[in-house]
Amino acid sequence: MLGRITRSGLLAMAACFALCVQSVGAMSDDLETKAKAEKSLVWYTSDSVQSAEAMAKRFQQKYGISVQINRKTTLPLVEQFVAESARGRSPADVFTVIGMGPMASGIAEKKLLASYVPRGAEKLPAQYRVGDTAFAYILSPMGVAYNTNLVKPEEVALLKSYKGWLDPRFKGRMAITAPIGGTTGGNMLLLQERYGVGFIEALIKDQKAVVYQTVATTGDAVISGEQAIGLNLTPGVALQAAAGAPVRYLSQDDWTFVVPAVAGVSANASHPNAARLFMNFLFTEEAQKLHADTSYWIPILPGVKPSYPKAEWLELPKNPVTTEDPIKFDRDINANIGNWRKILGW
Amino acid sequence: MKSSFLSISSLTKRFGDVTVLNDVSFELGKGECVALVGPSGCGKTTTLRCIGGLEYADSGSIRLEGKTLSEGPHAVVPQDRQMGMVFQSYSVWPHLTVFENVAFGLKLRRVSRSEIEKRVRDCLSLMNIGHLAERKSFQLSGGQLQRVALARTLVVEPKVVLFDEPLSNLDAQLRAHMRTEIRALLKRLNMSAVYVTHDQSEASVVADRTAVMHQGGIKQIGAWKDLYFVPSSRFVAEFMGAGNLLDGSVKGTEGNRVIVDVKGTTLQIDEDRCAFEPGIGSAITVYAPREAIILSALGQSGITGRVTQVLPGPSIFEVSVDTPLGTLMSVKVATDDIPQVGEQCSVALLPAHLSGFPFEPDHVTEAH
Amino acid sequence: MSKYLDKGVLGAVWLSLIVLVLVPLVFIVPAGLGLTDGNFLAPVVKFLNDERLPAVLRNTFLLATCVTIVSCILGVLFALAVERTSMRFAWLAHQMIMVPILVSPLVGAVAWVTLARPSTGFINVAWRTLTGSRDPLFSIYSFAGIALVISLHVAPYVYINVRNALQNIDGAMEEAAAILGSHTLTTWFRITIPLAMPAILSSALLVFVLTLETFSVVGLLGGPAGFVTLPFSIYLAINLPPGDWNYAAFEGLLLITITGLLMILYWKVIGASGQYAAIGGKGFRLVSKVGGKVQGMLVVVVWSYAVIAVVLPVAALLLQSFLGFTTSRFDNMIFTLANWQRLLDAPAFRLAFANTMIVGAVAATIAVVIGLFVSHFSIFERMRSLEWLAGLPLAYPGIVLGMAFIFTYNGTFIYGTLAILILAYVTQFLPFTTRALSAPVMQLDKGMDEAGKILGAYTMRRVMRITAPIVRSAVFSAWLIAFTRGIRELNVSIFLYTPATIVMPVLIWNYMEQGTFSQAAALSLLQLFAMLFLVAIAERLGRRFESV
Repeated sequence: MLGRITRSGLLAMAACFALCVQSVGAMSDDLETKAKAEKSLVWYTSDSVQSAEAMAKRFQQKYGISVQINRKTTLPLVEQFVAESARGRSPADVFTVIGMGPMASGIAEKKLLASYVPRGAEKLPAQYRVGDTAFAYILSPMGVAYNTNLVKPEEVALLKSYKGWLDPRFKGRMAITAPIGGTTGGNMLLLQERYGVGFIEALIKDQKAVVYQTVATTGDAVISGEQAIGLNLTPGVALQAAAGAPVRYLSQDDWTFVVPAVAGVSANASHPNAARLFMNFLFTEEAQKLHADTSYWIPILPGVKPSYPKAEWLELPKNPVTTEDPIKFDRDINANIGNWRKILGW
Repeated sequence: MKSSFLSISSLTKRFGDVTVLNDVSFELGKGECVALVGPSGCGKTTTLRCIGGLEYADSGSIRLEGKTLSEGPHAVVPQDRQMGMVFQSYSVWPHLTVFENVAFGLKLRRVSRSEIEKRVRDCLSLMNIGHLAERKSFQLSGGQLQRVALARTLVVEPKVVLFDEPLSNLDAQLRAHMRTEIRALLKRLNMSAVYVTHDQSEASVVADRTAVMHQGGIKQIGAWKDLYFVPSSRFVAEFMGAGNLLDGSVKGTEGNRVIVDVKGTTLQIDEDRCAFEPGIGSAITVYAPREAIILSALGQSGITGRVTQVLPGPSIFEVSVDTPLGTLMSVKVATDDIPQVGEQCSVALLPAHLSGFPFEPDHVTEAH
Repeated sequence: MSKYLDKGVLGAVWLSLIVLVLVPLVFIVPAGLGLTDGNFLAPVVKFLNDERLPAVLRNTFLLATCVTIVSCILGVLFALAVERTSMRFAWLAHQMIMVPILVSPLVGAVAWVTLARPSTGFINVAWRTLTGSRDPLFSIYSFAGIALVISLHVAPYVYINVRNALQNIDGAMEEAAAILGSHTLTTWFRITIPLAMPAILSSALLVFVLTLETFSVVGLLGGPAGFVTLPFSIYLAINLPPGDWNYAAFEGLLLITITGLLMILYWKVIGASGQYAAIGGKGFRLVSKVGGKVQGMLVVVVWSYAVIAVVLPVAALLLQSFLGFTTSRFDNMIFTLANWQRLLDAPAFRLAFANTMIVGAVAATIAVVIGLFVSHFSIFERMRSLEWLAGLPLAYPGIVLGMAFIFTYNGTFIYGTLAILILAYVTQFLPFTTRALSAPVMQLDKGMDEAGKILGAYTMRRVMRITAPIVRSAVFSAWLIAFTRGIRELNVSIFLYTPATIVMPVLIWNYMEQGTFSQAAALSLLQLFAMLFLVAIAERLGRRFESV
């Protein structure tokens, strides 16, 4: 099963489409004019809230086109978009979910997306695009975090490998995000593939990990000190460190599962030009940097240098892994969910 | 009887197994007032509500000036019947002033504003409540409310006014006053009316004719005096007042007199005043109104009785005497010589005022 | 012509009830039976083979039972304290007891997470500091925690019903017992409580059903507790991959069947208690009230509740709304106005606020108008089936209704507009507005309506010009009941909202899900204050209305 997971140095991967950055500046005036005439657009997105709002705001400032955000987690958002499209027209113009799998099988296969290659995304490798319809624009790492008030330095070393999480010292001190979406579910599947299902059972049953429903609630449990350590978290928790919270995001030695946020233009968009202009915007250096600054996720454009705060708050993934066959990967997650729910008592 | 203006024929209505109206028929002349009386549950209110269209009969018909208002299950809605109704609880709308209450029906008829103003004012003065026009219902007394309700009904000049026990919530004095006023008003406006009450004395004042109802049917209809002096059944007799009911059997006839034996005493009844064809030996109840029992000093003709009770009243005294016929009740005007309890006296039954109807063996008295 | 208009009005009322109340159910049935995708009975088979099934059903009923017992005991004690003791500030106690009804249980749950999470909840931190204990006093992520939050929220329903019953019991009955030398408690147990038993029983059923339907609290606290009830299971079926709507629909059908049967029982009990109420006259106020030890204990219970259910949660929300990040260590706390600023600046907030007001007001108005006509036809024209139909949604769990509306209207032109939210809200409000209006209409002298009829007025005019103005204070309070429910409606809105039609409770839920707790707390407080403000206005206007 490991075959589906390729390890790839992100920087190496990004290098192959370095040229893209140059074309970004010169957008078609024609598209911009038509887009401005449409005045607004609706963005269905599972992206980080802060980043989505920041980018929407910036886009509006730049082009005077207002962006209405419908933010939901991936599965309900896909359901909503599919159901709306099935019996009529969805209000969505731009559609974003986390994970290539749901985008490919749930949306693109159903011909719900228009063919449009955004400026700047032309050279994206195949694993980060669904034909000419959907394109990954940012990578969300799924990792761990700890509360600096509650975890001793020698314990931090243990946390760097998932094996270390079974150390008795952590018993009753950990939070875990439920495998509710493709990202958390993906990491869960990796854990199961690498260490066996017994590992997950040990986390829940022996280590008494408390299960929270979303990444945000797990993060809050760590930040507030409710739990000392948290698993299945995005680097977003470290944003709170800037506000003074005693929290650190940790890079794992084992691996860091990386999932892209993927966007496409709705085939039935009411604001097709504004949607295309927005897609172009997502692949500008400006947008990529803005996203990285507000989520601490990893920009997909190689040249972008996020202004990450103090490095000690946040260790970027040393060993990112991603999937080659996202559709099958998704199916595997779905096949295992029932079993995981049994372990979680859900 | 005047020519038929409102005609009710064979109204029948059931609620499940209970027959509330059973073949009710009567006629109402133009300008006439008929009272429906009877104990509660007798069907008088249901009859009234069927005429108004608030309830629908299962069968039978109602016609107004020859036009059919209801025929079996087909019925004209109340809105189109041109009736007026005065309710027991007044039902004066509390959120409207007296003026607005009375003007309501005129507005519905799209009468011009100045016309409404004039007609409402006129009607209010007619009812002697002109000064209350701007008041609301909570500022009015019961009698005033009843006048408002009446004004609201009369101002639209309905063809028939339906009264549903309109005075039963008023105190006795006011009730006595209002009933004469209603009578006068109806006559003055030549208004046809059906008047439901459980009080037969109220009916006697207000109505031209009275129908006594019992168990969903009309037992007897006629002028009050006829009902009082010549009831056609024990029920009507008991309902109309405290007369004397003497059970006996028919001995035979003599000319146009029916000879009746009551406990060994022979009484004679005018054949015309007998509600049925009396065969020899048939059981009969002789009705003797109190006024037909004449008490005089002992030694006069008649049977002998002993006074057992004297009930004084404002104008008449009620005297009970024990006789071989049983205890009889009589009345004396207050200015007469009133006999003493225990006194013996002669008792005569005036044959001209006796009447008879078939004896009912197992009747249940529901009158009150 | 007006005759036909009259038939039209009746037809419109029937049609609106059928569309609002029956049609959504019709659409959920085929989905729940697997007819929509050709896998006939697949959801049923899946359900029966589901290993979690026994636990889910056990949890659902256990929770409802415990909440019912706790809230009934609390509600009866509150009612006795307010109505049968001479406690001071009884009016304030009454207001405090009523506050939780105004707040959505979700807000209560948010506040209680802050107060009683095992490690960092303020109560547990205080407990550890005071006692030196290493264990928390109480964890909100537990069966007890979930039961507590729901009980605190539903106890006022029991209180208000039992209080009404106590007010209607002829005080002479209790005085008679007192004269015979009966001790206060003996009187209460032998006379007062048995007389109020129909009210207690009917509120117990109502509370039981409300708890069966509760999704938000279990959804927020049940995850970490590993505690799943039927409504939460429905939510999970949709939100965990692979989302299985048909399975959710089947679970929804099961839930609605259970609540439906219980509501039939509830209506039976209410009918019986209606006869019971006739025993006591109205307006018999007990002159002699109880003091002493009994009063002392009840006063403690009432004010403890006020602190636990109102003061502490509001304080916790207030604190949270000013925190830079979540923490319970005072030395770590950073206070900021940023949360409030961000909330008030957010376009989503302004949109949600406007939408909530529009949807709430329009839906409340429609529900009141329909309720008024339903009451009219049901009482004046003896069409009781209309009233029964309008009361049916009381048995619809919000989460099932939301799902049913999705099945019914997804893809139609009203989907994604405020109109669909309005329709769903009207359905939910109907039982409340109809009940609030049918009671005063029932008491109305029927002659009021018949007088209009005989004078020539058709239904429309009689309802709008006679019935409605006469019962206007009930119309107003029915509207307000509906509107306040609208302000905190989550279960249905969460299914039906789109970015343009977001409402405040959904925004709170989203803030919670996105981890912006401080903004969620700030918005929750705003919602609470808006409610209190409205109710205060209502009480003033209500008094003015009644005095006319």
